[in-house]
Amino acid sequence: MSAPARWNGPYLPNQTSSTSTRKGTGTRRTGTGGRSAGTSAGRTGGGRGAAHTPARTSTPARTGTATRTRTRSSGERPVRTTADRGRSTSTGRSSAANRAYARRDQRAARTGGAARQRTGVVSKARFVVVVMGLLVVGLVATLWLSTQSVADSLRLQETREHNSELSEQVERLRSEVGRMESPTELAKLAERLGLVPPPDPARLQVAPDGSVTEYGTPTPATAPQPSAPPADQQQQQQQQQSGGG
Amino acid sequence: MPRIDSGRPQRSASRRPLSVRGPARKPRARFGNHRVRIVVSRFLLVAALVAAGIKLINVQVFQAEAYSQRAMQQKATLQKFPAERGSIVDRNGGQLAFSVETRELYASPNTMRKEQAAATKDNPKFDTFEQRTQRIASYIHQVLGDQAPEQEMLDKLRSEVSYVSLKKNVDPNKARQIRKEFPQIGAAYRAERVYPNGELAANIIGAANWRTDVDPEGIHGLLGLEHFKDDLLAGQNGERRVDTALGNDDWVIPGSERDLVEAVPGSDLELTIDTYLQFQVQRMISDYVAKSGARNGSAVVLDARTGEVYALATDKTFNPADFGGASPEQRNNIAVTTPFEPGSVAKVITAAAGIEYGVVRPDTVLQVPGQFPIADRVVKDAWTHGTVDMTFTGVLGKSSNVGTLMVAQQVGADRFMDMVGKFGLGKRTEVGLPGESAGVVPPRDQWSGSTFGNLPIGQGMSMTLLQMAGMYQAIANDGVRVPPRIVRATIGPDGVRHEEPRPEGVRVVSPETATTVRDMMRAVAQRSPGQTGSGPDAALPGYQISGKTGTGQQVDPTCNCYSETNNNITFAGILPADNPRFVVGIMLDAPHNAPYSSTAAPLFHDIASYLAQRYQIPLSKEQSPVQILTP
Repeated sequence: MSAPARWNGPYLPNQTSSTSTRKGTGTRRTGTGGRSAGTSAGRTGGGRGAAHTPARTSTPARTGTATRTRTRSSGERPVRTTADRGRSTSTGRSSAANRAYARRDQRAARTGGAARQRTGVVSKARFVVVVMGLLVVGLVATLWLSTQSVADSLRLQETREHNSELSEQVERLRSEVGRMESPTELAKLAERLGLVPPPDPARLQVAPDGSVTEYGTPTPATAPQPSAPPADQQQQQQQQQSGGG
Repeated sequence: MPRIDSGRPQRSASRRPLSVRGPARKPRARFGNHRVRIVVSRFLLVAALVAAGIKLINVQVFQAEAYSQRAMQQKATLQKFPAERGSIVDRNGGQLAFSVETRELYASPNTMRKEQAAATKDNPKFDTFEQRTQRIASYIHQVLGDQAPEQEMLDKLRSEVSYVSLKKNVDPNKARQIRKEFPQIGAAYRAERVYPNGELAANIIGAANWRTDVDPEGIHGLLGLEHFKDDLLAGQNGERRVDTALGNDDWVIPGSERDLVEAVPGSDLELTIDTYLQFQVQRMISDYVAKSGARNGSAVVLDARTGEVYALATDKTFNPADFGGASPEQRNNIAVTTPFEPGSVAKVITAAAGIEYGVVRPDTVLQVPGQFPIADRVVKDAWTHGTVDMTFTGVLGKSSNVGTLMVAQQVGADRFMDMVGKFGLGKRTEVGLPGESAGVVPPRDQWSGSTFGNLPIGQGMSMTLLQMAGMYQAIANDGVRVPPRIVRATIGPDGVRHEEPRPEGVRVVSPETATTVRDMMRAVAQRSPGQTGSGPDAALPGYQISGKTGTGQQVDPTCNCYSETNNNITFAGILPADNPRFVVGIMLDAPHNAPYSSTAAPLFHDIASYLAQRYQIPLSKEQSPVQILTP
């Protein structure tokens, strides 16, 4: 904070630049007391200096200070002169009194101005903070969104893979069902269970009067040829298991 | 008012000349530096701009094409989506053929050899080529099991080629597993055509496999319906252009998709075939051919009303998954491709014409002599007899050649030929199977003197089994012949089912004639004392059976004459005759083993018996009355 302290020097003629900051804050307290008591210009000057000091110290940017003072001075000058003249002519006070009043007015105006300036600084600072905040938020949001998008695309890819795996599984199962459903396979399985194709069946016809006529001669199914011993069947089953796996 | 102004730096600087100026100069000194800086940086910036500009022009103008080409090569990838081939289902929705996605594993041994050599050079801890291939081979064997023997994989991996296909038809899941472990192994998209019924109906469906020699690459049919309806089944491949990252075609840059053409899957084909019936018929015909010692045999079952083909079986068929190993005989669907001389089965033409034109009635008694001379030939009956009295029913029931020729002469050649045309002989049925033959009927102007002594008894002309069954379908369907069809519907990619248009029926004879002929032909399957027909074994107790046996002499190529030993044994029948549901046609090529070599009637009986069970055909209200064969 050395820069603003150095800068204070030229604007505070009654004080040494090295102590200006400390003194300024000290005199502000007295200045406020002095204002209510209507004390000397020296104090008010100190108060004036004090009033500037926090503003200047609070803003590190030089150009900012410069423009601020410029606008303030251009705004204040006409106020001061008209007040001086008006008061000196209408009330017939002494010039010192007039000056005092003028100073008071000016002080009042300045303190008001300082408040205005402070709010200006605050609003600008707020603006900067808001912009920085927006930038940060934007950056974070961008990062978050891009992370999200990458994560989503990864998830999408995973889901797609999962989907294709599932559809492969469906295909596999479908082909398995197709194979097991096929009459060829069913016949093989039935044969393995010892079932045989039936010979010619006989057919029964029930007449309306309840009498039953039999057509054809039923013959018992013949057992499968005993040439297929259990060992062979087991072998077949093993083959089937290994083949079907 | 100096004190008041003292707070304002710039004003006070102008009004108060003293202490303020000193410190105010310092920044000015800096401003001076700044000017130098500006000059320097301006120069630098301009120099940079000029440099950038030169580079820009160089890149954008002189090297533009080369760069954009390289960029395109690097990132633009044409991705193809193979269209899923339509499946083939039977009339009940049972799967006959469908496609399954698979992978083909491949490797680039030469590249691998170089890579491994480079890797071991950098770091001796890496596998050598030999170690690597050994590990890959054993892992593939571990994942795929016996279908990928380790030694075979190793030999392929170590072969000195730039590309080698390791294994086809690999489950995508297992391929992924292998690739995860060894990214050097590639897995290309393939699809496998699965025939869950194996050899069953392969003569109809044919076979298809993954073809790289066809554009677009994919599953294409080579035989049967798979080939015949390939355009319909194949669908249209889709594609899109995407940008990919790092030269890896799988890493698609999101949002870079363009030129998207969606794949259109192929249509499904729904056949009129009933798989279970087909299985039984195929089994029966194979058994019978084996028993009778025939060269080959085929059988067909048609719907009596609609002409739909319920089963079309040949004794020889092949495994569509390995059709390369099938013999030409196995691949040949003889029921539609190979015409034959049908013999007495063709007498139905004369019978229908005789009744239709009022030449004879079923009970008309004919005095049938033992032989019938025509031009330079003499036609005899199958059994020796003198002149006997036979009803026309008897002529059919006993299959008398002489009696048939007598009636045919009365019908006349022109009316006979007209009837032959109406029965659909001499032209293709357009059933929807490839390689269909039209059969041969000699045109009227090429007849010799004895031609009309041959045609009525089923010699001197040829027909396919399907044409033969079609004639009986006309008789079963009250005189209207509906050309047979094997494709019932197509199910488009949108899932909408389009029924195949039902072919227009051809009126062959009047309904009365059809009924009369049907009733007459019940004589063939009857067995009563003195009234036994030519095919009593075809009878199915409880049902009226109408049919006709046939024995057609084959042409002996050595003498170009009719062979005395080789016959076509045929049978065509209607079940049940009083309310027809099915028409069955059977043909056996030159059977030799008695007793099966003389007739196919027992086979008809077996097929009819199964049909009656499977379709729960009600028993005939009354049994066939005894047909009077001899007065």
